[in-house]
Amino acid sequence: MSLRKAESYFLIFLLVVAGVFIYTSSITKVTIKEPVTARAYGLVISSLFLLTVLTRFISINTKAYKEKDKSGIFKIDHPRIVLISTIAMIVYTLGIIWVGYYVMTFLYTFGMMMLLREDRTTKAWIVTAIGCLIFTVALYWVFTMFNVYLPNAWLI
Amino acid sequence: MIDNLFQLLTSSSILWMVAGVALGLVFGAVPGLSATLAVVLLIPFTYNLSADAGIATLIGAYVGGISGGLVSAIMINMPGTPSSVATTFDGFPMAQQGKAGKALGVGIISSFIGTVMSWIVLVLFAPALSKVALQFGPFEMVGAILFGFTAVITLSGSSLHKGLVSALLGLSLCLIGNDSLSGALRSTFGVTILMGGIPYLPALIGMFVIAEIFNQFETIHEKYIVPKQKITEVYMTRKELKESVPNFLRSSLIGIFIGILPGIGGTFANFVCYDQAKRASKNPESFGKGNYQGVVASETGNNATIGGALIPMVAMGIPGDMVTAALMGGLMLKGAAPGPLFMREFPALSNTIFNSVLVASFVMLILMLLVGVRVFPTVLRLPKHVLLPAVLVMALAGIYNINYSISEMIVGLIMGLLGYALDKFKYPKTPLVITLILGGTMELNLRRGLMLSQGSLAPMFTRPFSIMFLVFTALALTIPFIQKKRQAKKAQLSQTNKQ
Repeated sequence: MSLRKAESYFLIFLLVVAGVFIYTSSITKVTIKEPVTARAYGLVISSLFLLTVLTRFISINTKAYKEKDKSGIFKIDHPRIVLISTIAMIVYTLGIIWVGYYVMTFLYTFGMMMLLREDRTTKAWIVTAIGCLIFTVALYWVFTMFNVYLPNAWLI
Repeated sequence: MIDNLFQLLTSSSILWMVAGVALGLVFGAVPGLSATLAVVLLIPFTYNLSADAGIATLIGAYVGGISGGLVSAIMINMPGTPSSVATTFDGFPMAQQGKAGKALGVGIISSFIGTVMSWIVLVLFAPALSKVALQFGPFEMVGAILFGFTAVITLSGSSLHKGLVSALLGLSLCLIGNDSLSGALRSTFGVTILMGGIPYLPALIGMFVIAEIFNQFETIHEKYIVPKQKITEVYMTRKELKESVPNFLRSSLIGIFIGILPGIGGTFANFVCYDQAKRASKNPESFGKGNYQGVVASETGNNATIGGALIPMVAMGIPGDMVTAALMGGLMLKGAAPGPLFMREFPALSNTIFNSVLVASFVMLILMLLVGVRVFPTVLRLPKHVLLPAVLVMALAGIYNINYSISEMIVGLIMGLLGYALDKFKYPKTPLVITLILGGTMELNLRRGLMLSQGSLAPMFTRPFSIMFLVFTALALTIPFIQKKRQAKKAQLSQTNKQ
């Protein structure tokens, strides 16, 4: 897919976002009388946003632009790693809330390091596990010393 | 004041300050952890210290925290603190070109000069400047913010249209949350965690740290973020120092001024200073490709906000940013509540604050030049498979500790994904960040001003400071076009002469 086409999809997404902002601004309750209300300000800003996105969308979809377009191809290198990392990040964040920061930190760093490593020998598994454990213990020690607050969860 | 300085240097306070600066540097260097966090975490440690030692420690952490951010900004393209975002623009390209030592040296010296310049202004003009700042009403704030928004044009890169989309996305995101003037809920989509709005610090960490982690995943086949190199040529040459004098002065003045204005702070200052340095440069196209003047502007500007933010705190008891608010908390614990009479009622403590800024800047300079430039780059040059997960872990802990809020961690993550998307489609992130930081303040002041003037915009054009900012804004918008036209005319003339 060309970068132009991918950008068009991104702009459609932004158009939807702008539309949602216009709608939510329009239903904002006005509680005090003032020259520019929260609703009016919201409507102006979100309409400007919509207009700017729309003009960009139109401009990159004109025939002249398409003919001159040299933006290249849209691609994500190592898509498997990017996808797994994104999921891992989300799981890690939710895990911090429900399972515990230190347990999840050990699991996340160990999992990610093994995913990103080129060699996955037995030695690499052991070294990474020990390294992650030391890192987690060091974090626990530093964060406890400085009273860094972490979410209350099932485990530590 | 000199007696106080001597006392500071010869008592245990200096040791506490060194510890404070060192901790601040570490917090500054780790993406996600910030100067605010360093100061907040140190407050309980100062309970048992004398007032002088306590305040020296906290100011040490403040100076160290703001200064430390440059290391990761240069070495791994992830700003250690939000106030070092603009340092990545030229610092990281310099590191990629094998000039990491030079970039670090320039950043350290600039941080030092910015702090010292702000100290001079703090000592000489604190009461007078506070009075000026107090004359700032809503319209003046709107004027100052509008001037700041002109940076969007310069920092939009090759496409102004993309920059405008990014800036308006930032302004739209500011619509989310509880309206601070009327209390009405706007664009919260019925989600409770959005009631507080989009907090800009987690958003910034997401946009610049988490998004960069995604970018680095794409180049995971390269083992390290920057090529292996020796950290050499750390010290700025006499020629470089001479060339940087106007930049030092300009960025310091901008930084101090922005520091004085409540609620704006170092994050905004480093963008404005960078933008102004680029505009003033004879070679603006070299910015973003490894021009050391970009590092000079960003680091001088963000450190100059330190003295600037302390001015309203010391002279009027008004905190300029989150760190000074935390510092005020530390002072109150010692029974010294900052206010208009603070300098008269607590002259010794006022002098300690002044002197601590100066001494901490020297401590920072020594620690960074002797230890920091050797240790930090080595740590940050760990293989990607080790560094990236570790940075994310620290960043999320840092985000949580800003307000102890789980929802802010989720905001950071979502903004990271948005930042990654913007990078993929080559949309500049800086305009979004600028409007996200200042959008709420602008709306509040504009609406408040219009309420006071009963809907009239006339005060915007009649009040002296407000009109001054409007003139600056107009100049910032028109000068680049005039310059472009002139250059085109010159090029045309030289072509006809050749023919």
